[in-house]
Amino acid sequence: MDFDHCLSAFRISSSALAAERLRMRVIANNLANANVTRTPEGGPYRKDEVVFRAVLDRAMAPNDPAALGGVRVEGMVKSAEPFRTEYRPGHPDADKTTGMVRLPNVNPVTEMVDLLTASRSYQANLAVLTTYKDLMHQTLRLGQ
Amino acid sequence: MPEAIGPLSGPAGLGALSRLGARPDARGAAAGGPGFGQSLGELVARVDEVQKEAAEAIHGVAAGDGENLHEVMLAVNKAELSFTFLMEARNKLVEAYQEVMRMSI
Repeated sequence: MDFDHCLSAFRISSSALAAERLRMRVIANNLANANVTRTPEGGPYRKDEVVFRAVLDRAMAPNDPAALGGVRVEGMVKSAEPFRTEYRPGHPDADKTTGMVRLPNVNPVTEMVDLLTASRSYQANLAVLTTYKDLMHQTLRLGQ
Repeated sequence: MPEAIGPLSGPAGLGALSRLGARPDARGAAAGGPGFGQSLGELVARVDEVQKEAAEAIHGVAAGDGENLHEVMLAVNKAELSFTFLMEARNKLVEAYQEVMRMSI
C-alpha cells in the first residue's frame, strides 16, 4: 500500500503552493526596492519576475495521468522594461547635466495586482487540497 | 485493500485468521501471494512511517524552520488519512472476527 501514490494530488498542489509563495516573496522584494537607485550591479533596481514550468514525468507516456507532477520554479529573470525617470536635480544619483534620476522599473500598481493574483492562486490551490482531503475522508467513511 | 480482506470470506481465510490470533507475527502461509497477516503488518509499518514523517515535519517547525509550512500541514494530513485508513481496516477485521465467533455450530 503506497500512500504517496494515492495522495499525488497533495504533491501537485503542494508544488503550486510553494511556487505561489515564492512569487509573493519576489513581489514583496520588488515593492521593497521600488525606489532603490543603487544596486551592486550598478544603476537602479531592476524588477524581478518568476518563471514557472509545468512538471511532467518524461519517462511516462505524455497522456498518462501518473506523469502529472505539478509546477516547478524555473527561475527568476530581470524585467527588461525601461526605467522610470524623474526630474530631481538635488538627488545624489541625478544626472549632472539633465538633473534626471533613473528609478526602478517597478510599478507599485502592477505589483499589487500581481500580489492579488498570487494570493488568489494560492487560495485556489488550497481549495483543491481541502476538497481532495474532505473527499478522501468521506470515502474512508464508506467502511463504516 | 479489498483483496487483502477478501481471503477472510473463504475457508482458507478463516485458517489465516486463526493463525493470526495464535502468533502475533503470523506470516499468513496461504498459498500464492502474501498472507493477510503480512499485508496488515506492511500496512502498519507504512502508516507508522508516514506518522514519523509528520512528527519530523512538526519538529522542524518547532525548531524554527517555518519556511515550508504547507509541507508540514500536508504531512500531518497524510498521516491522519493513512491512520484513518488503518483504523477502518482494523474495524473491518475485528468485525469479521466477531461475526465468525458468533457463528453457532
